[in-house]
Amino acid sequence: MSNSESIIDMSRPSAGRMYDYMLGGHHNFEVDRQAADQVVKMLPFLPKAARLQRWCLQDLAIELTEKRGYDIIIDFASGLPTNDHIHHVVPEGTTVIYSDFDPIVVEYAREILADTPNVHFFQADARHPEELLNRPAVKDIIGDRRDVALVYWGLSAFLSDEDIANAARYLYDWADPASTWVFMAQGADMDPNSPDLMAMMQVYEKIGSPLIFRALNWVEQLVQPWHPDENNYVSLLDWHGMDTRELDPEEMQTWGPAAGGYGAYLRK
Amino acid sequence: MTELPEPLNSLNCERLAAELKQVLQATMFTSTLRVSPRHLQQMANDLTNAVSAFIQGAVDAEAIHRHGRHLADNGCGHKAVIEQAHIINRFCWETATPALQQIALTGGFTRPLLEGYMRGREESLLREQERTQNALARAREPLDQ
Repeated sequence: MSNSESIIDMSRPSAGRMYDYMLGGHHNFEVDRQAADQVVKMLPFLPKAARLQRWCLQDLAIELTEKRGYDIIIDFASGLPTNDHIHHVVPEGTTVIYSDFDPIVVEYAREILADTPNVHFFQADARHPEELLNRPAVKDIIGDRRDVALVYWGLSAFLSDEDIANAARYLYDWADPASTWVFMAQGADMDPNSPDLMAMMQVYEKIGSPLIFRALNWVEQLVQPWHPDENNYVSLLDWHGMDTRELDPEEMQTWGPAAGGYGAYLRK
Repeated sequence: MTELPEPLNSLNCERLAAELKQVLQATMFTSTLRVSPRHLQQMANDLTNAVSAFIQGAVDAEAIHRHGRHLADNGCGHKAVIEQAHIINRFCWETATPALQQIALTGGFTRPLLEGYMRGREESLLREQERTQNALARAREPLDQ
């Protein structure tokens, strides 16, 4: 069975559709909801963490366009481009290139976007950014421009160390010095010994989407030679002006002080 | 046109907006993604303005129905909407102004708001159902060939 076939197979849970369910979306099926409910029982804070993560998208889109002046944003493993996504808040004329590996997401995204000007959606694997960046259609859109904003948000836990390091190196060589890579260290500084976390990882492993949670300093090494700007890595709680009161003590123990990860604007 | 009562002065509108924002904040993890922390104040202000305009007679129940649909489109969860309706009714009741208390008692504002919201949710679900079906069919095309 090819990867595409396995994603379209609706008799098995998909990590992407489970995520959609946890975010309150409707692009999921009973089998996904059952698997998601199973992990949420283990980690009740998980849907909140998913929201904290996803809410950042519009913030970073505004930051990249209005404050940092980018007019091309290339987003990897985008998920569904619903109303909360990047293209809804960027100034007119901004080019947004979304991508996702899941063919259903791609088709669904095209339904949503229809003829939205300057917004494109391609099927591509974020583990190999060259797949997207070297597509003739993408080259037609951005031409020789390399001063762009690249976004890897909410996917690093699904990538191996090698995937992250390879993507970092490829993007570093590809991008202009004026580019920014917005990166989320997903799940960083969570407690790797938490039995609940380990149980959740087993569920994801079983459905073919193993998760890897890393310490922040390890992520920082993997994305080198990129380095964070003066804001450094910002925890999801700080990002939204919240504090650790959002978590009870037991959740704090598992999720750590960042409540699910850190985001950063990485520069060359 | 209902005479604008003292309770709807700017100070009390601010209080209403603050209470609505608090509810949105308390329920934001149960709403959908569009209700993010950066949108709460604007959503609370918009609803406060709708309350104010309705009481002044500047808009009718149909406009409030549309606002309810707008809340659904903006991803408000049902907990957030029900709590907001409760706050608006209480606000009207506590003014001790007969015309506003009548609105609270009859649900003059909250009924069209909730009906609009439910209609908006239903429409959104039907729309998503269509999109899902089309997306699945197209995604399967290469496999079926």
